[in-house]
Amino acid sequence: MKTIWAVFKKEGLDTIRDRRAIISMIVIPMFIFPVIFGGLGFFAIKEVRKAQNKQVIIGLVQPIPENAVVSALRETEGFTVTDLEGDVDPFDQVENTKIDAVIVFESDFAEALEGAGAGKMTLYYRSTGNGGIMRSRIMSVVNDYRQEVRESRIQSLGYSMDFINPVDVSFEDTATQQEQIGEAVGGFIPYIFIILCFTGAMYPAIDLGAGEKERGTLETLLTSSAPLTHILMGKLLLIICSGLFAAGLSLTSMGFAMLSMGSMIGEFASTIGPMLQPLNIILFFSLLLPLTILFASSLLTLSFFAKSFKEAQSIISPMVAVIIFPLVFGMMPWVKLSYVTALIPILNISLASKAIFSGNVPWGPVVVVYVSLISFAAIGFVACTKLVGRESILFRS
Amino acid sequence: MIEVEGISKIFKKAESKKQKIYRTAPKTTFHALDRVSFSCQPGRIYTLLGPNGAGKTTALRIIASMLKPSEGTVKVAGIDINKDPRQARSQLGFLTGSTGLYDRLTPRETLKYFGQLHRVEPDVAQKRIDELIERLDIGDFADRRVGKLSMGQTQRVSIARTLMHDPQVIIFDEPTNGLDILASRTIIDWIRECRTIGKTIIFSTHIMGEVSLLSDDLGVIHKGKLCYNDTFENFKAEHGEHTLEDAFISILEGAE
Repeated sequence: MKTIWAVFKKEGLDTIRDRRAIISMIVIPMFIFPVIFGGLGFFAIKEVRKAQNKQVIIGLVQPIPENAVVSALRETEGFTVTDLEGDVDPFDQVENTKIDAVIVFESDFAEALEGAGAGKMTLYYRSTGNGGIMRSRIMSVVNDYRQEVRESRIQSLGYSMDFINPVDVSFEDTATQQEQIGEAVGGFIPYIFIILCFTGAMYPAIDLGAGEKERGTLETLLTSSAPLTHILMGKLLLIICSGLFAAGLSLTSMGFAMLSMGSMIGEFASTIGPMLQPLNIILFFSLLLPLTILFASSLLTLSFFAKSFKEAQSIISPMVAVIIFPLVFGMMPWVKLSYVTALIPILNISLASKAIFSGNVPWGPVVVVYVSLISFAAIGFVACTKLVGRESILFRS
Repeated sequence: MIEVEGISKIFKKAESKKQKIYRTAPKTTFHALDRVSFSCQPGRIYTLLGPNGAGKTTALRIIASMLKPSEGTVKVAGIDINKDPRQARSQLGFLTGSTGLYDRLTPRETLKYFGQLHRVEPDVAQKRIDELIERLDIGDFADRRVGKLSMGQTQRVSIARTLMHDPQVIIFDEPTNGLDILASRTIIDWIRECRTIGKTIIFSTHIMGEVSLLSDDLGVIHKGKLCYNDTFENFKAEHGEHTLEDAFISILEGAE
């Protein structure tokens, strides 16, 4: 026990003094959520709002029928309407002048509307950028007018609107809001935590195995009278702590990000908030612990197998892809936690956390998830101590 | 005291893919060491001389119980490495030219860590750290990080690290490999110092100059076989008229 603690303390000190490890363990987990929420969320919302409030310049090509739809466009706030000569090229106007959209009316627009026909108009606009938002702003004015005309035409025939709307459906969603969000975000949150946990453990693992070989300190370690298993356990303990620390730190930073940016992204924060109850977080981290032990054991084994730091990096980096695949698979809405999926590591924690965060935990499969993860952790740990003790791995060069 | 009793080491050669698929050749093995026996006494330096790839490092790794011998055994200070490797290791210090230290620890922290690994009692360890720092003149940089030290300074810390658990037997595996002349000198002086205080020392090298500087006993190893094993005095007497290098070459040729 003393040896394990001594190794743990030394490796901890060594890791804390290592700038590269600090980046993967502290800096990235600390900033990833503020960047996702703040950077993407905040700017996306800001852009949409900007587009919604932008003064849109609409050009109407003469001849312009003076009827209700045109006057509605002229009067709507946020629109500036200018009249254009009949011979302008609408395409050129949108592309090369300040005008955002051009409307060309067919010559019989007014007559068709007054009769029982449809007035034809063409809207020229640019769909890229925020063009979609602008189009729907213009269309909402047109649609209001449409609805008005539709109603008066139906009424003049002596019918009600139900005449053209024969089946009236209303929807009642039995899924609670937490369940809906749990499904949408529940797969995404653990995805980030697990990746960060892995990358947080990755750097120390490479340094503690392959780094030891590369520096030539492995031999001195092996000639000490401390048993190899104790040395490995000390190292594993540090790698596990690094992984969990990175995941825990990202959780804290997510909390702070939500508190500080709550006002800007209020809707998102208030929907995620109820998911992050203490019990859910404890459940999730208790699942993450055995998975981290499995990660640490496999990482340390591969790291000791590698001849050098570089080789260890090139062996271990592709493992991120191996982890991402089951996580992405677990994010699919049709993949559910069952007694079968509960057996597959990584996929099972993704599915279990989806269930946990959406509030209805299927305890049977969740217990299987625990059993599966703990068994994998135990197998990983035993394999690590057995494999690393081999001469062919320790002295592979 | 070290007694090496007929140790052999057989490595399996990795098969090529082609061999694996077609089985064109039988599994090949490689004798890194072939029934090597010798012994070293306290207060004497046993020099293991041999060209690169002769099996020096393999022999020393077996003595240090890092590798298991395919046959034979070694007794370190009377303890059989096959029966109680950990106890044997507690009597043994190991230093190679390529042995590194942890760059981000200070010399003091390094010594403390190796004291803990060897289970030296904390108060004994503290005393020994102070003593080693003084004797090896580490004081000026004892609290600076190892990564920032010069090669000579690092070597002194390495020696202190090797002596931290006060081993009876010390193995130096090509300890001056890649060092400049000053750093080499530090090591050579310390190997002598260890002899003076009665340690049993094995020292491996392929540099002839170091042989005459240090040897009390000499073993020449070539292609895994020990082809000379006697005192250095006798060696000089036998090959009086030749230079050391000529004598060495003639032994190797005799072994072919």
